[in-house]
Amino acid sequence: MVSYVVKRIAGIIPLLLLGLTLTFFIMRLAPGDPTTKYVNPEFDPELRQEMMQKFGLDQPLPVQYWRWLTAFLQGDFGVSFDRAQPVSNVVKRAIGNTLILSSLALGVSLLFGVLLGMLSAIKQYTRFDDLITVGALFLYSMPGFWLGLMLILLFSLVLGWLPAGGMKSVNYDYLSLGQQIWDRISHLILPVFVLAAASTATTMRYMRASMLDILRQDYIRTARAKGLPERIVYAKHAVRNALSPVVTLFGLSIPFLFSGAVIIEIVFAWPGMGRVMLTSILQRDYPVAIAVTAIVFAMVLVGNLVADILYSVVAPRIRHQTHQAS
Amino acid sequence: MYVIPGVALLLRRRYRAGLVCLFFLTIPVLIILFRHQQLLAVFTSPSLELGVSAGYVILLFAVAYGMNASYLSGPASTSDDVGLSEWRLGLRRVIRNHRAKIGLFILFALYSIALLAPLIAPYDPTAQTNVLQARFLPPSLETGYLLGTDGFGRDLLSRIIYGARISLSIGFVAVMIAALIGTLLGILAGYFGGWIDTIIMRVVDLMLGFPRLFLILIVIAFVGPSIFWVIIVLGFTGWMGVARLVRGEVLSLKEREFILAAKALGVNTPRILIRHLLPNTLAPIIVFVTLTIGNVILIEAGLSFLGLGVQPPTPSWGNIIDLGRENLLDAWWISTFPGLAIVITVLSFNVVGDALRDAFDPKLRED
Repeated sequence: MVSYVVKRIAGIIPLLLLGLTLTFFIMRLAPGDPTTKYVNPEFDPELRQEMMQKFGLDQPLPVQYWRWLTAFLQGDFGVSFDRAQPVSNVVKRAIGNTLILSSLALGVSLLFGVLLGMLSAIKQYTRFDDLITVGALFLYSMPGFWLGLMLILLFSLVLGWLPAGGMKSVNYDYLSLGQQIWDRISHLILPVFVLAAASTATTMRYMRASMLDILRQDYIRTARAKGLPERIVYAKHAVRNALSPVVTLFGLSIPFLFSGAVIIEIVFAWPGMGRVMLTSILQRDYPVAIAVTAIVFAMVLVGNLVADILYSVVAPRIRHQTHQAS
Repeated sequence: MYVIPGVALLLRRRYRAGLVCLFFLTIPVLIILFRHQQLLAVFTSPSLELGVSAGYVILLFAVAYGMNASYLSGPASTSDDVGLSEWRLGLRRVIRNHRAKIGLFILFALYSIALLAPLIAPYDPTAQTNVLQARFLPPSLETGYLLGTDGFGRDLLSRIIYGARISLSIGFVAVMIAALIGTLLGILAGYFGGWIDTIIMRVVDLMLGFPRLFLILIVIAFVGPSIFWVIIVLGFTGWMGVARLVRGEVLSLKEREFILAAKALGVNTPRILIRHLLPNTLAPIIVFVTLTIGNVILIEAGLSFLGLGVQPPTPSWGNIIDLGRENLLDAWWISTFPGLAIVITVLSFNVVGDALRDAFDPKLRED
């Protein structure tokens, strides 16, 4: 087990380096530089030269690359061109905010996806099953940003039950502790729901298919034949085995949670990575854009790694196969 | 009476075929009756989109008469499955699926609407009349704006109809590009193996791991937002799934007798790839394409919503929704209806895709 994990961790290091390198060069080779937005007849070319120098943009590209890479690996992401503060400051809070949103959404979608998928497989061809499958199909076919807008329209603008966006109210500091907690939660409900909706539908479809497959196996029939109560057949024999494809899906849905979060964050004015990414790209703020992309890439790799390790715990035959192969 | 396609079939009690023929006839007839001015405009204005629409009207006539003729001359009953190819059997399974039939019908209607947009849209999608009087009109029959107007006094229904062209064509073309690249690389990786396989599959893993939207955002932000680049980027970031699928198929196919026989007969490699391997990987590719078009339409809508895709005043479903955000409460219809259009389109593609998968790929069947 330990050697498997070590081997997998060693395997992602070259990928990570390759990803960082690609990101850097794509960003830098693209036309336009951060000084272009100041270019107008009154803009002094000497000042521009000075700016380029200050940001290190006058150096040859390989030098820039090496400087950036060594600094990056030490956790120094440079200074934001646009906000005149260290990138790590800008990014740190944004990552925290996005992680709150996406981890909650991932948790919710796994919980409900597995639960609903399981139930609809057990009750296959009943009205409940139809309702769940059709509902999942709808959620799966719906643009998240539109669902978000519709929910804002209904719950915030018409009914006034939930806030329309942001992380906390303007008068947050003047609220009592209990009200503060509710304030936080109420700001989370809609974005988490929207972000979780589509992935819940996907998880549910996978879980249902895998559960149906398992329920047809001989050992389930054996378990029933020896007189086990249905509850135990499902809980002990079926669900554990049906879960293994869902674990793979968990790994695959990690990049989705980041990319899905971009648009949802903008709809709900959530100060996370998506918003930072979008504004930094539009402002040609290279250090921030590169840092965000690289961090997301690293997180995705780690997420896939975690999913693989979990998978080898849930389905040990995978681990054994790789052992035998090596 | 027999001049009208379908009537002869109805008289011979072939009701279903007759109704289908009549249906295909109704659309062009209705257009000629109610929108003949626009149709005549084909001869006066050199616009390509009017030409395409007029061509589509003629095509519908041709389909109606063609189907009528083939049904009348064909055998009365085609219920025996003997001698039918796997393709025909699969298609029959799709047609028997009730949901898929509705999905296919909706898709046909949507593509017709997109192609006929200049003939059926009640207004010019970019025309602004008296803005102060015409803006933010709620949906109603009396004003003639069935779905209301937006903040510039433009008819929302017309904008959604024209937006359909953008969404449907971007989805289709982007997925075609992805399928082409994926099929090519997948066949190469699967057939030749070795280092070619290793390199291609490494790239696939790398690109699959990366959030697609981030890749798209980076590229779009630097080349500038435009329809052309959205299509290119969506195409070049969507091929990995096809490549994996095709590679898997080719790996199992290349050990089969008919490929070995072809090799033994000295058939050259390109011919084996194109004539023997490609046709046998086509069914899963078609399933995949149908299932991903919906997803691509969603991404395109998202990009246009962020202002990185189709630029106003060209209407696309995504940017109409974005425009409606500012007046979400007072003018709810602006954001609501294009969203519904997206849901219906994507849902239809997914339903048809699911049915195709069930029909052609029993391994992937869900239940």
